[in-house]
Amino acid sequence: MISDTFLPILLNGFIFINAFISFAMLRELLSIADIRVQDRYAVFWSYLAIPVQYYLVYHSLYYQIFTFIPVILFLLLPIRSMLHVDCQGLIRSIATLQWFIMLSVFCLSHFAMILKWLTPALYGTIAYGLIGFFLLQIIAGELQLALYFRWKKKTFEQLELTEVMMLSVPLLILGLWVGHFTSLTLLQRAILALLLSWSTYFGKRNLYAVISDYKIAPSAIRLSRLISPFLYSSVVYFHVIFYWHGVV
Amino acid sequence: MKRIFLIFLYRLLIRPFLRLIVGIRFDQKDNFLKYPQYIIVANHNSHIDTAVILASLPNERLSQTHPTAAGDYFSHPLLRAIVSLFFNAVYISRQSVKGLDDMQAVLERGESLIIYPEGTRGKPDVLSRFKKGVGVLLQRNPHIPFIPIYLKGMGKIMPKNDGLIVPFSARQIVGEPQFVESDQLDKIMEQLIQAMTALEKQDGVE
Repeated sequence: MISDTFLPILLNGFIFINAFISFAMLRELLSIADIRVQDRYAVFWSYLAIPVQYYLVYHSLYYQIFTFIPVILFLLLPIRSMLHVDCQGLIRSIATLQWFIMLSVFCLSHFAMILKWLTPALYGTIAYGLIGFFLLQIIAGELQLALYFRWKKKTFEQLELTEVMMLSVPLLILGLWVGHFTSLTLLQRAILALLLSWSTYFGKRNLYAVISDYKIAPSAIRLSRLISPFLYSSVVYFHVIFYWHGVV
Repeated sequence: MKRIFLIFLYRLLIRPFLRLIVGIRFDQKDNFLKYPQYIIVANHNSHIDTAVILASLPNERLSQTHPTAAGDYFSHPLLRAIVSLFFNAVYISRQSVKGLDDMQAVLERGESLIIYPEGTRGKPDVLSRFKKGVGVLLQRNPHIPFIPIYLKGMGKIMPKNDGLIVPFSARQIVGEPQFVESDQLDKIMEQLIQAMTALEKQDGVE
C-alpha cells in the first residue's frame, strides 16, 4: 500500500518541521524575555534540548519524552548559573526560560507525537479518525471564534469564561457528530470535544499573559500566537487518548 | 576568484545560517545598488555585525566592500590573514592621520567601506558617541554617499568578551543613501547621528 511506504517518510518530515517550529517559537519568546546575560549558556543548552526531545519523539521513547524537559532539564539548566556568587535575578531568569521551553518544546512535541500515531505499525487505521477529530475540532473552534469576534466586535482578551463555556457547546455538538467516524464512544467524544475547546482557549490565553507581562506589541510574537491553539490542546488530547487506548 | 569565494560563503552559507538559525531579519538590498560607491555607517555591538552587513549586500557589491578593522586589535599575522580572507577586511591604524589615509586609499580605488563610528563594540542597543574620523572622510569625499545601517539586538547574540553565538531575533535596518549636506565637520556629524537615530526609531514600526 502507498501509505505504508510514503507515510513514514512524510511523517519524519513533519517531525522535522515541527522541531523547527519549536525552535523558531522558542527563539521568538526568548527574544522578548528578560533573560540575564549570565544565563546565556543556559539559553544555549535549552536550544540544544530541541533535537534531543524530537529524537526521543522520533523513536517513541515515552518515558524519556515525559521526563526529559520537566525533570532532567529542569534540574540541569540552573546549575551553571547558580555556581556564580552573584545570583541576583536568577530565579526569574531561569524560571522564564523553563516556562518557555515547556510551552514551545515540550507542549508542541505532543503534536508530533499525535502525528506519530499514523505510523501504520503503531496504531493502524484508528489514527486517521483520531487525528482528523483533533484537527477538525481545533480549526472549527478557531473559525467559530473569528466569526464570534466579528459579530460581537470583541477581541480575544475581552472574552469571558462564561462565553468560552457557551462557545464550546457548538463544538460539543460537532464533536459528537464527527466522532461518529472514529472509534470513540459517545461519552468519550463529549469529554474530548469539551476538553479540546477549553484547552485551546487556555493555550492562547497563556500567550496573551506573556504579552501583557512584558508589555510588548502582539506582533512581536506572531508565530507563537499562530501556534498557540495547539499548545495545551495537543498535550491534553495526547494524554487522554494515551490513558484510554494506551500507545504501543 | 575572491569574488566567487565570498559570494559562495555569504550567499550559501552565512546568510541562510544567520536567517534561519540565528534569526536575523535582513532588510532589502535596493539601497546598496543606487550608487556605485558608498560608505556604510553602522552601530557596533558584536563581532557578528560585520557578517550581517556583508551577508546583506548584493552579489555585485560584495567583493568591493571592505570592513575596516583596527590594526592594533587584529595584530597577529595569522588572525589578520583569516579575517581578510573571510571578511574582506582592510586594516587601518587607530591613529587619526594614518588611519584616514588608509581609508582614503581604499576609496580612491573605487571601492566601498564599512565603518563603525563608535570605534568599538559598546553596550547592547545603546548608541555611544561617534568618533570624528568618518566625518572627516565624508568631508574630503562629498561625492560619495553614506548608507546608515542600524543593527538591533546583535549584542544579545554575541556580546563583547564572549565567543558563543546564541540565537535571538534581531533586525537589520538599512537607510537611504545620503550625501553630506555641509562641508563643516560638526554639521556632518550631526547629520550622521540624525540618520542613525531616525533608523533606531523606525524599528518599532512594522
